[in-house]
Formats: sequence, structure tokens, C-alpha cells
Amino acid sequence: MHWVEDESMFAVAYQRALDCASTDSGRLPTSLKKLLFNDVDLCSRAFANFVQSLLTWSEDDACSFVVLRPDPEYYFHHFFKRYPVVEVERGMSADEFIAMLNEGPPESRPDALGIIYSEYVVVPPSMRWFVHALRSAGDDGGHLWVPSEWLERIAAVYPYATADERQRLAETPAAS
Amino acid sequence: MGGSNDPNVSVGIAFPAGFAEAIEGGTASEYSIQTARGALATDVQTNITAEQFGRNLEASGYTKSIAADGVTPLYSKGNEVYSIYRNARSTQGPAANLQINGEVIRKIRLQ
Repeated sequence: MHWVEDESMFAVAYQRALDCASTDSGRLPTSLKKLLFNDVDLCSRAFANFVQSLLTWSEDDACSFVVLRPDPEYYFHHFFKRYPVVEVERGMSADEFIAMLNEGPPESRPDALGIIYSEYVVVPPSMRWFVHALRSAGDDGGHLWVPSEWLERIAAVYPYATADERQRLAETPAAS
Repeated sequence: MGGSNDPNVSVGIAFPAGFAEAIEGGTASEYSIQTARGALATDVQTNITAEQFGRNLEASGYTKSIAADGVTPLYSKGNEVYSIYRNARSTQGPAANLQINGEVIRKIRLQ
């Protein structure tokens, strides 16, 4: 299983993921821009390939996929003695990515991270970009935060992420 | 509105050639395609509850398993897996996903 067992490794990834969630909610400042996507697109070849593009652009060797809900300690570690964190390495194929997210504990396939999540984060050590997503019945549960200079290239390689209209309106000067 | 452009992919309920159908032993259902913003997964709205949806899947031969929380079900048959979420987000109600070979291809909004 790819899930992290080491508590100190988990602690680093978990804190980073919490910081991303705080940034997404507006409680931490950021210069990154927000795009929206369907949270379930996580388990797709297009998203897997897109993560590889993001890793290349940010020059990170890997990023962490962290499930924040169900609770990492009181749910995952309690039941499975492992933490809901997996590393997505640069060069990982789309098939490997999807298989990893569908890998549950041997006794509980429904607890695969890509299935049971209510909230997840994808973030590299550089934190030059990140994803924070909530399980949603709609198509805007995934929030992707990226440098503004990447927007054009993202539109070219991953057109499924679209501008957050509310953010755009907030940045538009009000007419006098 | 209504009717699927992709009749080869089942939503595990009645599978729609039209707007209201039922599988044998299942509950009649209506559905409509709601996909917006060019999302990868097709977004489907139905008029059935999570409980009815689960019963329909079992009637269609899907095997049910439950997550460690004791409530989140997974239905599998061959390379198809349906997962049902009773509270996808508090304001939007329950939903289900269809995965084929691990890849999510459909999100289904339930009542």
C-alpha cells in the first residue's frame, strides 16, 4: 500500500494541506489565482497528466495527495493504522495514479482515498500551486490555485479548469 | 432535455433511452444531463433517492460493500464501481459516482 505510515511524514504533509485549505478559504493571503473544476475529475487520466504538467512547471519532484476528511487520525489511522497521504512522483503514469487512488486497505475497498474522500488537497513542497477540493454534487467542488502566468498554458493542457467568476468580479473595478 | 447521448454507459438505474424508465425490480427514474463548464465526468440529475439507487444497483447484480464508517456504500460489478455519498455537500444533497476501470466517468445527483 502506498499510504504513509510514518507519523512525522504525515505531520509535514498534513500541515501543508491545512495551510492550503486556509488559503482557499481566504484566511491566508496568496498571490495565486483560483480555477474551478469538478472534484471527481481527480480520478481521470486527464487530471493525472495535468498534475505531471504542474510538477514540471513548478520544478517539484513530487506532490502529496492528502485526504483531510474523513479525519486522518480519528478515521484512517484509527481503522487502518496508516495515514491518508500518498506521494505522486514526477513521471508517474496516469494508470499508476488512478490505481493508487483506487487502492484501499485490503479489507475495505470502499475506503480507497479516491473514493471515500469528502475533502482533499494536492500540493507539492514548493507550494507554487495546490488543489483543495470538497466533495460536491455540483461541478465546482475542486479549487485549483496557480500563478497567474500559468493560466494560458493551463487552458491549453487542461481546459476542464475554468475561471472563478466570483474572483474575477471581485477584481473588476466598480463603475463610478 | 433528457435522453443520453451515450447509451452504452449505464447509470445503474434504468438506463435511459428515454426520460423515464425502470429496470426490472427497480424504481422508475427520470434523469437529465446537467454537465456544464466542459467537465470530464458527465453530470446527471435524477429523481431517485440514494436508498432507491442502491436497491436498483443490487437488483442489477452489483455487490455492495461498506466503508469503515459503516454507512458509505460501494457497489461493484466487473470493472464498474458505483459509490454513493449521502451528503456530498450540505446544500446540494446526495450524489453518486460511476467509475469504470478506476476512472470516474459520471457524477449522478440524487434526491
